[in-house]
Amino acid sequence: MRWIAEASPRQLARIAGGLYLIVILGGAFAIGYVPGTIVVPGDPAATFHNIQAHELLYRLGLVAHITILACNVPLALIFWDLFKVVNRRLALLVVFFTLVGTAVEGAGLINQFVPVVLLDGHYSAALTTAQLQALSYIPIDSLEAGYAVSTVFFGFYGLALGYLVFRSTFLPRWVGVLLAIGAVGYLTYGFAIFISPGFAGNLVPYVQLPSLLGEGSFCLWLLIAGVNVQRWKENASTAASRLEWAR
Amino acid sequence: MERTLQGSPLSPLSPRSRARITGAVYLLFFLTAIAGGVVTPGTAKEVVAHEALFRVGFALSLVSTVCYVAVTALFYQLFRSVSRSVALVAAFFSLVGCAVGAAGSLFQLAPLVVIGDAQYSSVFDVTQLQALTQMLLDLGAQTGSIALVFFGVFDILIGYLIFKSGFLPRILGVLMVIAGVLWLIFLSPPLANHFLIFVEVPGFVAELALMLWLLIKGIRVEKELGEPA
Repeated sequence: MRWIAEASPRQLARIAGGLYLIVILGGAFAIGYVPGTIVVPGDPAATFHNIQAHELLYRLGLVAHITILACNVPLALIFWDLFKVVNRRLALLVVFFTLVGTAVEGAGLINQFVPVVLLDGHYSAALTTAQLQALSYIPIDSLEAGYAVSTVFFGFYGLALGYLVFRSTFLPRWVGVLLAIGAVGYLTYGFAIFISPGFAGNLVPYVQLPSLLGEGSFCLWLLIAGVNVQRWKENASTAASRLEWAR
Repeated sequence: MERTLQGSPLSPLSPRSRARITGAVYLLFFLTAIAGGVVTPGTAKEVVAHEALFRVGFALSLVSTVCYVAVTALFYQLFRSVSRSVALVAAFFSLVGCAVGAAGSLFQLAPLVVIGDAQYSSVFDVTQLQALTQMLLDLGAQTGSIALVFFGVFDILIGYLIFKSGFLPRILGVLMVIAGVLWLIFLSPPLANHFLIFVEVPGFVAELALMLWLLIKGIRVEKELGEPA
């Protein structure tokens, strides 16, 4: 593990880019493709049938989801290391929002286990098939609202991160702007789901494009270009003298 | 060097203005938490009757949790000069509390899905649906009790840090410790609900006093030490 402890800012940026890529691709599979294939909106019976018929795919979606949540944790730590030289308070906020958002999203995964648990046959004596199907559909039906809760935390994460990137000088400013615009999209969608789900439905998929653009360009920039190490070191020495000054 | 220290927009804020910012975010937490708590109905029937209000209350409560995450980060910055390790442990307790609380709010969303949807009312009768909704709301409230225990430990540790700090009045620290100990009664939710007023009032008073002090008086600057790395 020594190489991690001694990793240069550029290596850290590359690792973060790689983790972010896993998060984006895994998210597209777990939150986009799998529910898109299996869930039949408004039809508990057909959804229940699809989960039974494609149980492996359904479970793979869960595996992918847990994996991306696990990637978020080291990602938060790397962002702390990279951005504490810009502004410690905001960098800490990025870490905290990531941790809480990830924990909430992980807790929400319990919802997706409900159908598989109800499927296993222990409950068919007490409940009719239609009732079992309806009971399994409640968590599926609540998924979107559940994601919206973690989306709010990731929205504020995106605002803080966008500001840090914008101010950093070691990453391009436009990436910070795109991240912040994507974050506004997250927040708009999240709160729309709570307050007016019908309106939120009209926002899809347009509201998702800015965050894909923002996080996608951030991820690829970290992965391919890394950070400008010279500028990062300038930031670090400014931060060090600032600490000295504060003392 | 490109940026001079004083000219930089990121130049360090004075400790007093940092305390004020903490107080301001804390105030925002108070306002959203109280507004969210007041308008959120507690029973299945009320949720059905006031769905729009329930939705707004939910959004406000979530914003209050977001504010508390920010307050947690700002408290860590404020108190790490007193004891870095205690400040960090306090922050982690608060984060776990925030995560548990926000995850528990997921239970509150489910009733909205369940009620008034034909696909559920065709297989369950009205009393069954109401019971299901009430169960989900109650589970949400139970999760809230779990979160309060973590916030109790957070309050105790913050109280200790205030007491030791020298830059805030010791009485605020004592109040926070008392409030924190009382929140721990939520280890047994029935007991806590029995004495609810005696748990909530000191908790409210302690946090309100701390918030107002930070917002209005800030901190005694000469006592606040620099920031170790």
